[in-house]
Amino acid sequence: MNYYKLLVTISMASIILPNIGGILAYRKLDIEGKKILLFFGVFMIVDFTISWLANHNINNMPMFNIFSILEYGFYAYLFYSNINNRNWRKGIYYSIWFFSAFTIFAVIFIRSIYEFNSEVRVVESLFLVFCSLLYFSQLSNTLIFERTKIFKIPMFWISIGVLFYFAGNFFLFLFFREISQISPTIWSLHSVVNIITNSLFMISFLCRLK
Amino acid sequence: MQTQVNILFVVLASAIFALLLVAFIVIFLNITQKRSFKYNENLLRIKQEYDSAILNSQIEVQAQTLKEISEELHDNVGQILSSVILHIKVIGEKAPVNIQKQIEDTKSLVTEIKEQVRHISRSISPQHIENFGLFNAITYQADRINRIGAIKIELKTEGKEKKYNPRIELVLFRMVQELINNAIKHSECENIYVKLNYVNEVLTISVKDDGKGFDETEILRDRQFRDGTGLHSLENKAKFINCSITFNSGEKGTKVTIIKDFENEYY
Repeated sequence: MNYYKLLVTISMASIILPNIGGILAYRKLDIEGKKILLFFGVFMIVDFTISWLANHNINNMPMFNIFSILEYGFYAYLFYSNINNRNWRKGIYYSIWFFSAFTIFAVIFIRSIYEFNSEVRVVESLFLVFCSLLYFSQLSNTLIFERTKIFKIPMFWISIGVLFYFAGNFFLFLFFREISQISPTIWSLHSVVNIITNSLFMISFLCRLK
Repeated sequence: MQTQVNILFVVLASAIFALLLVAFIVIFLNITQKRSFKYNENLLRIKQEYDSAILNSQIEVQAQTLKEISEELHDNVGQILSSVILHIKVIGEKAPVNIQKQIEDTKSLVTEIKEQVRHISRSISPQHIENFGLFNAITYQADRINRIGAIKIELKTEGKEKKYNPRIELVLFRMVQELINNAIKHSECENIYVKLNYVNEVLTISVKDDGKGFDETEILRDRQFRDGTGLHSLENKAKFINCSITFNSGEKGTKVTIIKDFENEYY
């Protein structure tokens, strides 16, 4: 196994990290925490299935494309629950419908469902980076009233993870076609970002422990 | 070829930029929160200082008022009562024998009033507390109440009696006075036990009664109840002189313990 494949494997397996974090902190989880853990459980099953399909030379893109809607819906729901401004909440709510419609449109009219839809990932990245910046802006404005240290706020770590993953991979998604032709190994960058992101998601659970 | 290099550069740069952005947000929010914590701490400190200043002025105004009342009772009312006694004595000398007994009784009553006024004047005088110290002031107060006879106050000391900062002793005395008054007014007790315990620089005062007690949870919850029984004022005074006050109450009565550490405040 070469370096690139090893990195991809570790990246794929790193989805276990938030699940371990969630199990360790299970007693401290509130209802939202348990929902997040459930989503990460689903993500893990999906990731492993995608990986299994790839290893058996079966096209995993249909599953991946459908999963994009679920993924966006999950993160958007988290921001929807944690952002106080009514107008922004409304915007996030409508963005879920918009994104779902766009994904369906993209797999029918832009690319095939059997292809990687980089356009969908670009739109998803734009929306989620914006949502996380919105959350940080709200956090900085309400810090004066916040008694909990920011490092103890689970949503802070999830937002950091979302921002890091989608901002870090934005241009990778944007130039996906070109990069695939120039240097496919640049995708190892995605693996590194993914491992760090999953570690941040794990901290979002562990920060609840004393 | 140049375009390909540019694309790779942009991709790598964007990842590095994301990392820096995240680092910036974490550092920025952390610093902002630390500042806001500090700001809130300062705000709390200023509020405490303000409350302390208000309480200080209240105590000073109270001390000044009581001093004036005490002087007025001693100098004015006391003098008038002395004149009244003198007048009664003169009348007694000239009065017929059949009313001599009534005149003698009246004279005794006025003398008793004069004595009571003198006691009240001394017990409320801050000067008296400053001159004689906390223990003697409490003893005087206890004697005065014991003389009335309805309630018995038992006073005990442990350790070697010391004299501390008179301003703090005055506040402690007012607290004990308030606790005794509370016990008399609310507890329907027969006995009150006051104990002063001197250990090194720590003075522990306990005031215990054998009355009906009260619901402790009521105390913690009900601000109105606390105000009505003067407990809020006691807590404020305790905060002002930086001492602890604890209330224990049950069916067998109430025990209030005040602990003051005089280290660095020794007079």
